[in-house]
Amino acid sequence: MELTTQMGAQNLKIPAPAQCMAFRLGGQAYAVDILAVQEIRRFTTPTSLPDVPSYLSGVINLRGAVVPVLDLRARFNLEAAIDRLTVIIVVAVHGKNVGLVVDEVTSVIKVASDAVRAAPTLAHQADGSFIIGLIPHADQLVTLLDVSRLVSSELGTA
Amino acid sequence: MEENPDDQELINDVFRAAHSLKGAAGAIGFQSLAELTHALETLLDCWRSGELQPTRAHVDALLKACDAIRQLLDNGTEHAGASQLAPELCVLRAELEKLAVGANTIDTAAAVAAKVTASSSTHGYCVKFAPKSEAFQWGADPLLVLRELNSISSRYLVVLTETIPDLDQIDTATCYMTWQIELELLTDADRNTLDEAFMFVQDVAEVSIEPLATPDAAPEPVADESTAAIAGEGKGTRSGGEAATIRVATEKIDKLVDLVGELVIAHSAVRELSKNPTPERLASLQEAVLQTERHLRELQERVMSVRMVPMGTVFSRLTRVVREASGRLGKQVQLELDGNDTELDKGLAERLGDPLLHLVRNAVDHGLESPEERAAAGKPSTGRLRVVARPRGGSVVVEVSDDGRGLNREKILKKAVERGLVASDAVLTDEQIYSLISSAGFSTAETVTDLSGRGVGLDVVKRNIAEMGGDLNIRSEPGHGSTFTIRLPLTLTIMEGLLLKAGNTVCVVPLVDVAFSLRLRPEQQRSLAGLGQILDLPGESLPILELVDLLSLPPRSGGGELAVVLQTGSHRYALRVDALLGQTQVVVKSLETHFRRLPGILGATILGDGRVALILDGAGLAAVAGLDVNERLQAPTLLTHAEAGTWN
Repeated sequence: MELTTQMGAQNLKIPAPAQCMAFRLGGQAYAVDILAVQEIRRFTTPTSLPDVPSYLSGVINLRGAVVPVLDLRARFNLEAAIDRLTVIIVVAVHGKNVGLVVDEVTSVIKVASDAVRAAPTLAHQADGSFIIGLIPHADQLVTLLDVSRLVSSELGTA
Repeated sequence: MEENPDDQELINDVFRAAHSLKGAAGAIGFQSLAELTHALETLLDCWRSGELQPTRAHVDALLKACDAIRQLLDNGTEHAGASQLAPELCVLRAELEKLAVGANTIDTAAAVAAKVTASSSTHGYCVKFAPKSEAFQWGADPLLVLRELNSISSRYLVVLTETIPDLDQIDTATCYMTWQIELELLTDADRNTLDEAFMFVQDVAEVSIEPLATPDAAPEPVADESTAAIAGEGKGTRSGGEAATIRVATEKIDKLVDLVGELVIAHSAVRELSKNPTPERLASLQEAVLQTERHLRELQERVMSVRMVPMGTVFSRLTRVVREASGRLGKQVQLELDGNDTELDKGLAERLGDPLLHLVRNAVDHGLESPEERAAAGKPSTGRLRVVARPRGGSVVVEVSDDGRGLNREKILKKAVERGLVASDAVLTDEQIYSLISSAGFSTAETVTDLSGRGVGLDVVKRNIAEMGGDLNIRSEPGHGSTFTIRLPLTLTIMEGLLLKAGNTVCVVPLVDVAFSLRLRPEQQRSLAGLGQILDLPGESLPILELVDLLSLPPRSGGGELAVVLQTGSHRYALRVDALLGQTQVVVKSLETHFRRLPGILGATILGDGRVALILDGAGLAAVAGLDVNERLQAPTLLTHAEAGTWN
């Protein structure tokens, strides 16, 4: 039932950002609206926080500000190795900064306004609510994430 | 109110405003005003408890009362106010008290004007707007102007209709109307905005703008201020006023300037020496760095001190209030103020004033008994009221304690059930019960006095304190008195801390929380079933908390051998750590800026190497670990070894 409603929705145009920053999470391609991205930093081990979900890696020092870091690999149950390509993408959501740990930043994608397809969401996939849609790019589908929803629901911030 | 007779929040707000106006009037000896507002309060209380529904007549009476209050304020001096208004006051009081249905009709315009003036400060204006009769031909539309006014002010409009001829004589192209407008500008508008609104019609209309007469009596600002604070209204003006300016002694600023100068010199020395570092110059370089550090530290302290005011400024108001209140009630009260020098952020100090006043008044009115009662209870006839302010754990703790009758647990519970605040079969702890008295619409006083006693005080106190980010804690011992503890958050951004290490994680505890640190010997530690680890010290046994567990760090084999004994308020416990890295000054960064508050964590700081270290909150950690304040382990007597043995 959930599937049919989603398929019906596929014809609707999904509002898409003009440019996205694409990155890799455990072999899969993801992207976020480039306007939300503040900066990209080399990975530094965050200071862990007590009593928070495991994918909340902790806090880092961003030029004197204490900023939480969300490990997207751990969030999506992907393998979370740390190598020299691992970076933290700092995004700004509702005036707050949050770091996202990703395996590698791959490219900046230009998105045509009608290019985003609805993701086939299944009811049991809770993660689906963070996905705006899919962008076909270089022979693969890039999952476009809704940063603001992801961050506000995971960090419990407004 | 007429529209929404069921709007409890609105009624509560008005009620609180009246209540605090009464309080403020009492505090400055404004007898007639206090009497009037007391009557007003009585009426409002009936609404609040649902005994009566607000009706037109009530609202009329209310407005009339506002009018009278304004006149009182205008007259300023008590003598004039009392003698001139006494008869009218009595009528009003009688009216309010009888809840007269047939109150004299008040000229609506006058009542409205009274309301405007009563609530206005310098933002009120009286505008006369008289478009010329040919205004329409010039293309002017008075309606546009009025709409414009609507957007920048709340206004009360009176149309002067004398100039309008009979219907059959009206010429549609002629403007006959004249408006008299009394308006109150919204906070972000000023006189210029008002002038601008009339700019386009000034050629075709006569416009006169005059500020409304503002009461020049001293009581006005006092009353206004506390009304805003207690009723939680007028937030804009209040926070705006707090943020706007701070008065600093020129001397303090001069010192700052001097210090910056010295810092610049010290820095240039460092710079010079580090340009060409040779081993010989190392010693002088170190010396220069030390010099810089000293200056920095001093600068830091002085800059912080600019925002800090001693608690004495807040305390000074209390003496008078206690004197008057105890005199009126025929009680003997000795007020002890301790911690005059404790410094508090200016903004917080200002906002603390009203809640503290409430607590003190409550203590005199309800807490302390009359001399006879005290004598009967075998206590000295003079009651003791202590107000203490202390910096504690990066917070400031203000305690108001009396040696009076204490809170009556059963009475509170009974009343709470009556008022439907709790279910009649609910099982509550003492703490929960005591906290009931700070819920809205609760009072335990048997008689309603004009001093306090309708239970408006505490809920507002609690809310105001919560708005400052602090909390209110109530303790009481029947027959021995009650203690109200206000804990205000840390506003200092720099503090002394002790660096701790657990596993690979470094964190900081505020030095003020630390009692002492010690090396744990095996014979001092015991494991008690259900109580966890206990540290036996001469004279006391303390629970041992594992920092590793509290920080959710991966467990490791073998505990650390060092412990820090933390003392925060009434909590006292040992925190087991792996290493103590020494004392340091840390800059407190809020976790909330980009994240949210975490229990047991005060904030974070950035260490010399750029890493983030968490700052622990001693009291918060105890709460996280589930240590109950009241069930502190006193001595081994609590659980004998035999009993412990049966459990093992």
